[in-house]
Amino acid sequence: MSKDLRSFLKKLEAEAPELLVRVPGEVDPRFEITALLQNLEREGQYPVVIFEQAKNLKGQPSGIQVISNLFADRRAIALALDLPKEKWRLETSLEYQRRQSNLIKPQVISRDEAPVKEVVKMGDEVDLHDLPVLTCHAMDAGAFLNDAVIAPDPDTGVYNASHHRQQIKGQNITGLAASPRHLWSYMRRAEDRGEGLPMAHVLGHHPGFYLGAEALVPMETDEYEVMGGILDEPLRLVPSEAFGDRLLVPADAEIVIEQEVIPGTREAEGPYGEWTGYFSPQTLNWMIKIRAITHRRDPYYMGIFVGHPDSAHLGSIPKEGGLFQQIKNAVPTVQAVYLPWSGTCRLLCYVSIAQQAEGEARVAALATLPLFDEIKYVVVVDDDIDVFDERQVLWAVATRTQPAESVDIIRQVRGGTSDPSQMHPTQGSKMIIDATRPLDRPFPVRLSIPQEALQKMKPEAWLAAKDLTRLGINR
Amino acid sequence: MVKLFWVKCPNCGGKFYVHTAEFRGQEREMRCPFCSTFFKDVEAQAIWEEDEPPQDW
Repeated sequence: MSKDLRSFLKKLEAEAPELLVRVPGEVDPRFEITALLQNLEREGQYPVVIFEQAKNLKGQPSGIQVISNLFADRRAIALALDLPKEKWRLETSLEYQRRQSNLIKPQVISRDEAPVKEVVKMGDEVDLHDLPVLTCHAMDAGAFLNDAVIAPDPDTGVYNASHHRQQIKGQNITGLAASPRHLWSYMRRAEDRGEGLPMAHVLGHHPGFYLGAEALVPMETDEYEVMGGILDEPLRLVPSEAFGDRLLVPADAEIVIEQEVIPGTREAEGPYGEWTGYFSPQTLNWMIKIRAITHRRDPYYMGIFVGHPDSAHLGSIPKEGGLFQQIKNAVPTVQAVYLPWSGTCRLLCYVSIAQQAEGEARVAALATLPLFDEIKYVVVVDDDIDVFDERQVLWAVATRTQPAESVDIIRQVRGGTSDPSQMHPTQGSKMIIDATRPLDRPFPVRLSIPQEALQKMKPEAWLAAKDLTRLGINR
Repeated sequence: MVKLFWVKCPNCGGKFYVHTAEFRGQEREMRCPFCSTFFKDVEAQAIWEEDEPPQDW
């Protein structure tokens, strides 16, 4: 059986039932779903949530379950990569990196075998308002699809996959935002010839499918093959209804929206709550015509909670493994890399190294910058600091740095276009903090207590049961 | 990030912000995220572009 969203949910229920909750009551996709997720976040809870009864955009029961927060807890992502949930730290990022470099060609199957073809809607039957499309945040310009968009290169046929928002603008019309990367290049080249570009918006599949869409690979690399690598098996594809073999779509998806760019069109799109935690402004963007909607008989609709850990981890884990390898080329003693949620999993980067010579910390920091533009602050610490524990990182910054000597600022560097603090559209500055201990003079030793004493004085051996419970110590 | 300015919808009074270079003085229509009304910058109920608008704007 091929990996899909359902096989993942079974695995999650079996191996980490605490990471999955169901909401039986009927909910409106306009703010109600994200409001519950936000309230859970305030409690420090990030489970995968299935909303069993969701209304569609007409205010009627949709008959479609909504699933969100699939990526909000790194333990769920570890499971998606077939690791134990406890291996959610660097092990998950390195496993991703290993799989990403192991491309697996997709397998094309017939439409009779494809679950996503159980229901096919074309022509006047196509109505996006039948779906429970989420409106996430207060200033969002309406409901937005926000999963992975697949398109073949108009010249080479190589498939790109990436996450894009699509604002619902009518029964079969959306607006799509794309920054100048691979999909943007595809759409521009097709448009220059006066042609539309066939695309698919894939709503609901195994998490590995979406993690694969976030891979940082050259435009010549087919991202269906990357997804196969991440899934560790061939991704099953099937010809689309509207475009046939010109657009192959994932056969095991929950819902596939087959669509085409309308060349030469631009219309106001947005505002939209983005990964930065801020609303991006309304801009002019492409119009997209929906040609077909195909789905399973009882599909899940997947909505990503953008601007929250759900979208943040989806972006960071594919980058951490690449960063680790890149730093390792320059500083072989690199121990770990982490893009913390406090920096939206993009703007802040923590690196630990076992420093062998003065200056290695700065080399490690500089090695992170070429991989992707959004990194703005890099903090390098020694290997006694756990980069996944932000308190430890800040302790190292507080006690091992002197601002005048430990901080470097690099000006006028290409930066992330969405960073709200950046004054120039494409260019900003970077800061490196070397929070490693100096090697050229004696440095004070960290506090410690002998191991024998720590072993002997375990709380469970010395405290009363009621006090252990009161303190939340349950072993 | 791109430069932006705030507008007030002429139909519903909803406040939102847009990309300055694409819409300010460009004869292009914006679309209100709250009531879907299309309008140009000269038709806006109000525009605020120099700094952060006050709460009661």
